[in-house]
Amino acid sequence: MTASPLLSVRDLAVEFRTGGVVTRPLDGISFEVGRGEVVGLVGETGCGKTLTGLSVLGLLPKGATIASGEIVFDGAHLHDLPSAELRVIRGRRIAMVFQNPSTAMNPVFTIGTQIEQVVRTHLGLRGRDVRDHVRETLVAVGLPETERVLRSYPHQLSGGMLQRAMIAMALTCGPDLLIADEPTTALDVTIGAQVLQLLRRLQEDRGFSVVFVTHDLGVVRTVTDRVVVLYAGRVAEEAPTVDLLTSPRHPYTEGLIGAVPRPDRRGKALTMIPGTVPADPGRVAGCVFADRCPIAVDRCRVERPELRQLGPRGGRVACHLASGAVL
Amino acid sequence: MSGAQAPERMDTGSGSPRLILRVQNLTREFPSPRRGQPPIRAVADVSFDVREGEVMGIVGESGSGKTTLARCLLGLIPPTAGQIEFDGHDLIGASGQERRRLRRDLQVVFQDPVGSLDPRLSVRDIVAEPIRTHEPGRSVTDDDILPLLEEVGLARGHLRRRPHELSGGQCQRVAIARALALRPRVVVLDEPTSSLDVSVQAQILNLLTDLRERHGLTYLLVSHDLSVVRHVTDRVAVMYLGRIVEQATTEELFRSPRHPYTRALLAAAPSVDRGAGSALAQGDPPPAGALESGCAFHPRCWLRERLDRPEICASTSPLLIEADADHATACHFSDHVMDPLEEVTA
Repeated sequence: MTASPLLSVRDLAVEFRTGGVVTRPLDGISFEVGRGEVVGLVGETGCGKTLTGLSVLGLLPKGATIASGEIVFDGAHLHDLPSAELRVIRGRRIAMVFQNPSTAMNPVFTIGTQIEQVVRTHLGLRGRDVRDHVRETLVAVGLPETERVLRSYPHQLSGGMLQRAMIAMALTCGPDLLIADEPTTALDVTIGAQVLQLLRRLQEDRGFSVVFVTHDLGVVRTVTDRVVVLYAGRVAEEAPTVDLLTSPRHPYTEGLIGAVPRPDRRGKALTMIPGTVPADPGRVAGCVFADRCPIAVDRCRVERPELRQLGPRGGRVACHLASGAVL
Repeated sequence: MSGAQAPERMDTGSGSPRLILRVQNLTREFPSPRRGQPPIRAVADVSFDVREGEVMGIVGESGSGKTTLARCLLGLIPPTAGQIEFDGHDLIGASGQERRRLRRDLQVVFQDPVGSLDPRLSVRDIVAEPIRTHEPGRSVTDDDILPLLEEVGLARGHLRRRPHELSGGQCQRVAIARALALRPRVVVLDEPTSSLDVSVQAQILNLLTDLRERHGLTYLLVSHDLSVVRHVTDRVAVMYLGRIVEQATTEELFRSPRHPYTRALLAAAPSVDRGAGSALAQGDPPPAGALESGCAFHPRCWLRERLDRPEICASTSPLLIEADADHATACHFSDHVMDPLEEVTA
């Protein structure tokens, strides 16, 4: 990684207030994204991966606030920025692609109108230049029949085409960072493969950084350089993708990988992680995974494990019991 | 109607388990949303057999007809044409009473575990419902329900809960207990784990495997997830736009797929071990009913491109032909699909 990462999230905690009750769905998330790097945010439902992405964009849902920590993007502290300045960064320098393109787009405007609006707002182009710029982007994402797509409303396009249009809209201002939240989950396998291939090609050509939010370890293997595994609002482990998938250090990561059906274990029992995620992980004093962990000891239940560097290759793990050696 | 036939069943001789489900030339059409247009064939001329005790997989993407097929088998919608034989009895032509009797042996677990359970009922009543329906007059007690719950890993404490008080995985366990309540012989599993997290999916898949071994159940697993299908099934039929394009033993199908669509599907699925392959199939499938003739896959077929677009693919629908024992393919050029996958995707 270069000396100054493009994005640095440090000790981020997010709180929700509902009624008088305060919950903490993110509790001390830290990770960095280098320039040109593709980082996966991985975890299961409720682990906080989507919320982390939204925090970076300053798009937290109502009732949620950043309780502590900082988000630094290219030297700017995003959480301190006035909203007018944040708007300049969001959309132009940081863009997002959502899981479900048909709900992320506005149904009453054509694709052309929506992308043109982004271009006018952020690039200040006018007239013919706007149309030309949008057309170029659509061609770059491999959408055939550019004119028809521009005139179409979201419901008139297939899921795959709409996701390409969404990617075009995200990339049209040439962002430095793309946050992609499960961009292929709602698509069929053969269409998802096209979209992944497209994202990989565009990323290689243009060199932007990507935070790729996903639950799918196969997708992680395909597109990411490095992975951050989240569990119950905390970082469990972080490592280069292949290292993490082949020699996980955190018992949760190991369980997650063991749960995926794989050809060499056809018909054999899959690894099961007993129990469930704690209801309010913010109140757990020790390790949030201790109750489900096959190797937990007393210390795990009382003392919270900090993320610590393990081995020379730059992996970090939040587990008292992980050793430098490969498990 | 095109002439696709059921691939000849191997032998009925010794050692081969008996047929429990036989589907022949099953077709289901829906009226076109556009007036004056021909109906849309969601399932077109589908034939396959399921033997007692095996796990048969039906794989396909959106619009492949796999769910419509499952609904026809369950009698939720009538087929437009074709036959379904269950344990030697005609399921479609059966009288109401006989069909009810046959349906006891054929149960289902749906994709959405929360949505497929009545939110107003307790777990006890949900699991008791099929017994009350099929054995009216019989009083169902906790002693009937508890063993079922225990079999799926739930306990007495769950009896009074309602679906919204349970996790997705627990709801799916309730749905499985309900499916087992009448001690069926065949269970149709319609995407049973697609809305679950991978760690919960592992629990449910392990549970389904245990139950099958314990009760000698036969499963028909409908899924879009190749890793799940590969993990649990013995045989697989791959569907594309309403037709079976390939059918083989699971091992054989994943080792040497012979239909270009199957190959594209396998190449596209991102794997933890090797990342994603490539997008062999380009573009979108044509909209339902748009394709007039030829192989349904021909507009997206990479193999056809490679062979300089032979005319026959666009003009003639290929038959599902069983070239080897238990491996049937519907492709005019399946001989050319045989190169190792790595070479094709390179």
